[in-house]
Amino acid sequence: MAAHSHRLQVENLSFAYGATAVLRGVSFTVRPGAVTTLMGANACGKTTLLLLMTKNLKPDAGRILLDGRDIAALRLRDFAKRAAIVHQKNTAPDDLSVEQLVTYGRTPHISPFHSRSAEDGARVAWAMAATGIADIARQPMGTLSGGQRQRAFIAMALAQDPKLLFLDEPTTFLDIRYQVETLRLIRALNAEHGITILMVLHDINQAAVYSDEVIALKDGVVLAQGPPREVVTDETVFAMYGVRLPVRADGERIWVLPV
Amino acid sequence: MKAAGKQLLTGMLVCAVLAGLTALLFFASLKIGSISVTWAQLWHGLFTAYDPRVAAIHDLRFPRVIIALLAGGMLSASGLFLQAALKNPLADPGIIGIAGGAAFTAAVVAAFFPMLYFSKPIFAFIGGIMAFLLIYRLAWKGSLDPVRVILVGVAVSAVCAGLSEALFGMSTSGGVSPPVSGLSQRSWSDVRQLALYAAGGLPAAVLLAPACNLLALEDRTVRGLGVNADFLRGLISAVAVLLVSAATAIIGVVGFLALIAPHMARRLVGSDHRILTPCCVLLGAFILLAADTLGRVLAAPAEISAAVLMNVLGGPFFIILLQRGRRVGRS
Repeated sequence: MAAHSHRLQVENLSFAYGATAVLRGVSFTVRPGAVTTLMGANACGKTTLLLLMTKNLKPDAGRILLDGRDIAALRLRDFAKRAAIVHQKNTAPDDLSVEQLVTYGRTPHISPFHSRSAEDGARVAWAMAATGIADIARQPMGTLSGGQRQRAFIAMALAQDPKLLFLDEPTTFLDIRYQVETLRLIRALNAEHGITILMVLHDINQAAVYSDEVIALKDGVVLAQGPPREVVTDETVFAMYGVRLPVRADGERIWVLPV
Repeated sequence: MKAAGKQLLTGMLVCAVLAGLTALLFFASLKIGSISVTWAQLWHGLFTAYDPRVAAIHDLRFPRVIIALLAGGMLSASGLFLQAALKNPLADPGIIGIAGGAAFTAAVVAAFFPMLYFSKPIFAFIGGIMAFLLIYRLAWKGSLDPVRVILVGVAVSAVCAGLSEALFGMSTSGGVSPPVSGLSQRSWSDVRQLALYAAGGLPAAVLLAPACNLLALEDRTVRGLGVNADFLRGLISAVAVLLVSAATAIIGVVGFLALIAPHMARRLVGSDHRILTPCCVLLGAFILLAADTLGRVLAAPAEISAAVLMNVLGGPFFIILLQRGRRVGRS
């Protein structure tokens, strides 16, 4: 678990669905070893950006570099060994055990006609331990709570042994307790295992507390990037969401009362 | 690992029991019929001395029984794979018109190019693939909506059936009789033809079982694991279409089997395709042979075809699935 992290650069990225431009010349660099959060109003291009960065969509213009190499030139499988993504919507058969699901995370490392090695087993065990689901390894997915399910899918992504972990709104379908649990887990994965995190969050306060860096998007362009203290300001919040909200500082923390 | 191991073990046990039952049924249906012989007579007639009654069984009943087993297994595996590829528990190659497309091109070959009789399954495969692509294209709206697939499929199925009927009409007036279908009057050359495709398609299905497991996740998740989900879907669909086309070329369209067997198999051994695929093949072989044997017995000396029996039993089963699907969809 080397602390060496990959460097992700987005250069002048543009993308349109048909005639609807979603991203217009987006550029930023994700700080290696940090937790970065993409923020912005609905339909500002967050999820599209995440899909482009994970080779699910192809950019119309611009490029995305992973350690200086254009990801368009990387094979899907090689990309999956370096970066993993936890999508917002996840499905799995109800009778699939947690361990079987997490084992799927080894797919990019296993050639189709080879059986799993001891390293694969160790990596799966590690991923389950890191996400606190080792004790439910044998339970079928259909019996899990929302929070446990989310952790199982995060564990699957971890089993890929990524240096870079993408998460698309990892808290959306969870109640507040599991939201906090999931965000703390993400923070811990970053702190203890040096995994660079890039996630999309809706909640400004959660973004401010759990991120080292925030990228604010508006109408397909980057409005601001930097530490939460610098980005989460009256002006940026208003520019992003079109509503005036009071931003308060409370010692180290800043927060917004979203009412 | 123990839970998964236990599931796999239970699955293997179920498969062993199914294989045993199928073997019993195989011998029983060899004996059942208008010509009756004892086991001893059968044994001697086959291996030591010529016996005209056993010779008749060898030429008529053996091929029929073997074809029922092979076609039953192939159709069921085809249904299972289509369900996995289209993420649609209702996908049945008979209902959504793939078998209809295969049957039509096979009929064209039989009517106009009788010299190509022995490559009928290949032409059936072409027809099956065309029907599949048509359904896929027409039902695709960013993703495949399960109900849309069924609706489009029913239309494609009706068009193919109509074309086949029209072809029979034309060919009878032209003095060509419609090609025989169903399980009666099958010969050893049919067995050899079908066995060729079963020998290719069924092992391919077993090899692709882990790929079916992956496709049970969201496509984006599969891509995230470094696997091209669309490529997998194409591969799995191609095997499914090959299996159903070859079987249809020999025995005609049999509906519902490809729907019933996978669902029953899932109930028995769960959703892991590594064990589900062999279980489904065995179950399909058993069900089609049972239907054919029953059809020979129920109204003897007249026969009810296995396809008709499958429709009578399968229709209600399909409705139950639709009802349950609706409830699941709402919850």
